[in-house]
Amino acid sequence: METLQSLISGLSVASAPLNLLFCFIGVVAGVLIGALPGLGPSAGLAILLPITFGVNPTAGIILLAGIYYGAMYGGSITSILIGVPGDPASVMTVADGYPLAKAGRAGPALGMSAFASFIGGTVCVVALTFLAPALAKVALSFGPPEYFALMVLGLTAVSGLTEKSVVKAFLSTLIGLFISIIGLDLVTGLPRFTFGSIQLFDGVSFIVVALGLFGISEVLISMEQKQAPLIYDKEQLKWRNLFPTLKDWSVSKWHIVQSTVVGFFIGMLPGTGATVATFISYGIAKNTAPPARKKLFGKGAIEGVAAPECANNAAAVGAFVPLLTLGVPGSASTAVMMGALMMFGLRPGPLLFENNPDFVWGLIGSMYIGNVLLVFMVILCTPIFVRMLQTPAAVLNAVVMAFILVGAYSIHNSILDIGLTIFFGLLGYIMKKMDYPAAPLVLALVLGNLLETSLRQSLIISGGSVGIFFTKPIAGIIMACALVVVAWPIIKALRGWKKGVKSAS
Amino acid sequence: MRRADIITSLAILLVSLYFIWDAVRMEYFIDGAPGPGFFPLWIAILMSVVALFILYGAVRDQSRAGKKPIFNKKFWRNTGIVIGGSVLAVLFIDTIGMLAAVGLLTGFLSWALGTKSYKTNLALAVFTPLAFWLIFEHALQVNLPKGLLGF
Repeated sequence: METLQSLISGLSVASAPLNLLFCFIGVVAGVLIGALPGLGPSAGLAILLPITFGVNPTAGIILLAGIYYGAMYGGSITSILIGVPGDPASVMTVADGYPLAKAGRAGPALGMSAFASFIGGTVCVVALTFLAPALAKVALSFGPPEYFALMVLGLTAVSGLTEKSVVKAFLSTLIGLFISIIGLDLVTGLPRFTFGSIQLFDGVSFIVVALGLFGISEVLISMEQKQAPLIYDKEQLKWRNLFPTLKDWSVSKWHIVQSTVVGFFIGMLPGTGATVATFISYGIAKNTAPPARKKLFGKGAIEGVAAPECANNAAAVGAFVPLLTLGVPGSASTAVMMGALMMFGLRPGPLLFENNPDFVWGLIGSMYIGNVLLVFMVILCTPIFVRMLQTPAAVLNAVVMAFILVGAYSIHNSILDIGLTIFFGLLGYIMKKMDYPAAPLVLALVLGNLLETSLRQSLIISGGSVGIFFTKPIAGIIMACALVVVAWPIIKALRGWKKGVKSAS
Repeated sequence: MRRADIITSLAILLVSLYFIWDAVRMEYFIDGAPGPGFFPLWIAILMSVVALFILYGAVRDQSRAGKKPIFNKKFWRNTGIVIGGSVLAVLFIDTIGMLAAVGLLTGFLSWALGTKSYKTNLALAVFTPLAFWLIFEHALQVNLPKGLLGF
C-alpha cells in the first residue's frame, strides 16, 4: 500500500510539465544515440550530462534515464534496416532483423522491437517498483564491510566478465581507482598525486574522464569505420506497416515473457548488463522454439527480434535496482548515472528512498511514462528518426566533438577540464585499439572514493584486520563471489595452458 | 599488438613503481587506522603486478609478433585531426573566445573528415556556436570565455 502511494506521488512528480519535457527529450535523444552506429548509451549519457546541471536533479535524472532506455530501442533501427548494430546491445537483433528487412518485413520487425521493448520495460518497472524499496530496507542494515564487499564484487564482475583480455580489464579498473585517489585525502586533507596543481585538489571529475573515454574515443573509432548507406523502402516504414501480425504475436509471446524475466535478472547483476542479456535471451528463445520455427532463427524469425529487444530494455530497468538500492552500479551507463547523482549532491543507496522520496519515485514514475512515450514515438516517428540518421558521419562527429569540449568546460568553468578531456580521449582511443575496456576504468573512478572510505572505516572497526570482510556473513558471501569472479579466468587460462602443453607434447 | 603490449605494460610498470615510491612517503597507518598512503600503496602494488602479468604474456606470446601495427597511418591521421585540432582550438580560446574557437573547430573537423561542401562547413562553423550560445550561455547560464572581440 505504502509502495502504491509512493508510486502515485512519483507519477505526479514525473508528470510535471518540466519533467515530462525532459522525459520526452531524453527518449528522443536516446533513440537517436542508440541508432547512430558507434555512439553507445554510455557515450550519449556522458556527452549530454553537462546539460543536466542547469536543471533540478529529478528532471536531470529523468532525462538521463530516458536516454538510457531510449538507446536500448534505438539500436534496433539500424540493426534491422542496414544490418549494422547501433550499440552492442542490439547486435543480436541483426541476426533476424536484417533478414526480415531484406524480405520486405522491416516494418513489422521495427514494430515488434518497439512493442517487445515496451512490454519488457514496463513489466520490469513494475518489478522495480516493488522490489527496490524492499531491497533498500534490507540494505539499510549493511555496514562498511558489506559495502566494501559489494563494490569489490561490482568492480571484479565488470572486469572478470569482459569479452577480451580479463587482465587488461583488471588493469583498467586499477587505473580508474588510482585516478580516484588524485586530490585531497578525505580524512587528513593531504594532497595526493596532485603534482603541485591546486586545480587537482578536488580530484579528476568523472565526467571529464567519461567524456574523453566514451565520447572522444568513440568519434576517433567511428572515423575508422565506413558509414553504411541507409537504403530502405519508404513504404515499409509507414506507420500502418509497423504493426506485427497476429501470427507474429503468437510465435513471439512466450519469448517476450521469458526474455523479460531473463533480462531483468541479468540487468540486476553487476558486470553483465543489457548486451549479455540479449545474447542469453536470444539463445534461450532459439533453444525453446518449436523445430519448425527454430530453423528460421538467423534467417528472419520475428521472435529473434522480439527476444533480444525485450531483454535489453528489461535489463536496462533491472540495472537501476542495484544503483538505487545499494548505490553500486553494474555497468558503464549506470556508472555515468551514479556519477551524475553524486554531482547533483545525492548519495545513491538505501537512504535515497528515505531522504529523497520525490526524486526516486519521480524517476520510477517517469519510467512508466517514458515507456509509453517511447512506443508512441516509435510508431509515429520512425520515418523521421530514419531520415535523421542520414546525417553524414563527418558532420555528426564534428558537432559531437564541439559539444564535448564545451560540455567539459561547463562542469567547473575550467580550461584544464577541456585539456584533461582531450587527454582521456586520446587515452581511450589507445585503450580501445589495445583491447583495454574503458567501462571498468569509469566504474572504478566513480566508486573509488566510496570504496576507500568503506575500506578505511571497516579497518578502523576491526582494528586493522582484513578478516572483517570474511567473518561477517553477508560480506563474506559477497567477497567469496568476488574471489570466484577473479579466480575463474585464471583457472580457465591455466586449463588452456595445460591443454596447449599436452597437445604440444 | 605484441610490441605495443610490451611498451605499454613497461610504461605502466614504471608509473606504478613511481606511485609506490610516492605512496610510501605518505603515512600508512595513523593511530591504528589506515592513513592516506594505505589505499594508494596497495593499488599501485596491484597495478605493477598486473602490468607484470601483461608484460610476461606479451613476451611469451610469439604468435602475435609481426601482425599489423596498431599505431598505423590511420591512427596518426585521426589523432592529428581530432586531438590536434582540439588542442589548437583550446589554445585559441583566450584570443578569439570559446564560441569562435569551437565554430572554427567544427568547420575544420567537418572538412577534414570528408564533407566537401563549403556551404555545409561554413554553416556548421556559424550555426554550431550559435546553438551552443543558446544552450549553454542562455539556457544553462554558463559563462563561456570571451575573446578579444567580446564574444
